[in-house]
Amino acid sequence: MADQTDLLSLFKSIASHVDKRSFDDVTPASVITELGIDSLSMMQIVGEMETELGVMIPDEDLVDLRTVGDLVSKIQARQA
Amino acid sequence: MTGLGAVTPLGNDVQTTWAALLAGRSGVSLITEFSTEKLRSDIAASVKGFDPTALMSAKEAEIHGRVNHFALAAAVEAMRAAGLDHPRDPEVATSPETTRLPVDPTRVGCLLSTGQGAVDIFEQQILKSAERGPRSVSPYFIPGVMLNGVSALISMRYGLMGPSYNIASACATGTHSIATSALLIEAGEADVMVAGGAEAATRMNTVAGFGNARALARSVDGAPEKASRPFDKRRQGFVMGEGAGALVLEEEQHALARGATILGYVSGFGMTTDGEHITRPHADGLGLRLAMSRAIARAGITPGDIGYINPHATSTTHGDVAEYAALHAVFGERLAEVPVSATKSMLGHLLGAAGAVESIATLLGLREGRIHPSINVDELGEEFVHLRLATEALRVDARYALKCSAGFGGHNCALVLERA
Repeated sequence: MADQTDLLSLFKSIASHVDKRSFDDVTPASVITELGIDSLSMMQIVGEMETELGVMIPDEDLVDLRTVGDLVSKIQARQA
Repeated sequence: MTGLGAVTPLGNDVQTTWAALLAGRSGVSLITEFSTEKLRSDIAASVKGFDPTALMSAKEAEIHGRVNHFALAAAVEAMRAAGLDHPRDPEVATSPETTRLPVDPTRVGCLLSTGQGAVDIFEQQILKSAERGPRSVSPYFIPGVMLNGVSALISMRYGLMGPSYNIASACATGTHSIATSALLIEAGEADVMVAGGAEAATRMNTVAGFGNARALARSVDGAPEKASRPFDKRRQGFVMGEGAGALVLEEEQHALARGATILGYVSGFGMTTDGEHITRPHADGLGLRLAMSRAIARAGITPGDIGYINPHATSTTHGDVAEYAALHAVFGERLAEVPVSATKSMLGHLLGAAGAVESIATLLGLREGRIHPSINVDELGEEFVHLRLATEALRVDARYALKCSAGFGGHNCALVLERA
């Protein structure tokens, strides 16, 4: 199971690939809407992370995501 | 018509394309983008040196297929020529007040259509799903492949709020889009329409599909550039091409009121269907003939007024014969007096974009009094006795020209274009 640091790195790498820009400064506290990632791009990032990690994040986990840390926690919980 | 734009295998703008057409150059070469092993044809007319990121971000370029890249570039060129290339501020919500267009945006629409859409994105995402599972499929897959994505993209650039959608009639798509745009303006639904067609479907699976239907030409005498040869005795099929053609159509008084230069007129159009076979044209070209007659009648002229014909002329064995039958039925013996040249002899078949790019070539021929040649005619097929094919660029003083297109599905569309 990937720890939080690994998941954050994976998020940055996938987000950079999806949005064609750097996300090096992202922290778990970064608010997703403030990162300028639109809703479809966010789902693309989630899909790539799911595929990479072999997990399935159900829709209900994606409803109240505010920060990158929220996403990372949801993924961790589903990996457990 | 107040603006023209084109991306073609012979140039990434109208003037470069037109100069190459007049010079009789071919845009056909060997396919290098993918392996052609086991395919029935290994040639195509490809757009060269095109950079989509000149008009969109790298991310947008990835979301949209090549067809959308071409369409946007052609539309921007046409809008610029019409004095209308004023993109909206993407940070500000669209409203009639926030647009930067010098015309009412609620009266400007877009019918720049594609026949097949983003085949490249389809292939890429299906491959991704097969290799990595459905969760890896991009959420942009659907907006990326929807045919109306072309018109949506152009409308979003300018904040166009008039009618916009996509018409698909296979190889008649571009022509139908021009005819329908003219109809919308005539009906009072819009003052300005960005009309035309776009296609970028040269992919392994489409070449396989068309090839297995035995519709594609191969190199002749070892030369890809000799493969597209409408009306020639040794014609064997069409050559897949790609590109886009855009025409800004505008209600005449609207254009005059804002001081726009009028390049020419869509004076008539005719739209019909064979209603007979999914791919084979009617043997006597009946549907096409009706489309031509209706276009001429709607223009309020007679066949005797047509001074140039730019036919569909795909270079297929049966298609060229059916079209000749239609032309002969409409023009009779006088057909021998009207110069004809086939743009596809040089550009290959741009499918959904063909009618748009060919309409541009037709209009430029009228405007400049000089039509481009039809190349690769070593020996005219014996069926085409009355065809006056221009094998070199020809001085022609004509007011009206006929442009016709026919598509798989039996869809026909003809236009009468008039010089300004």
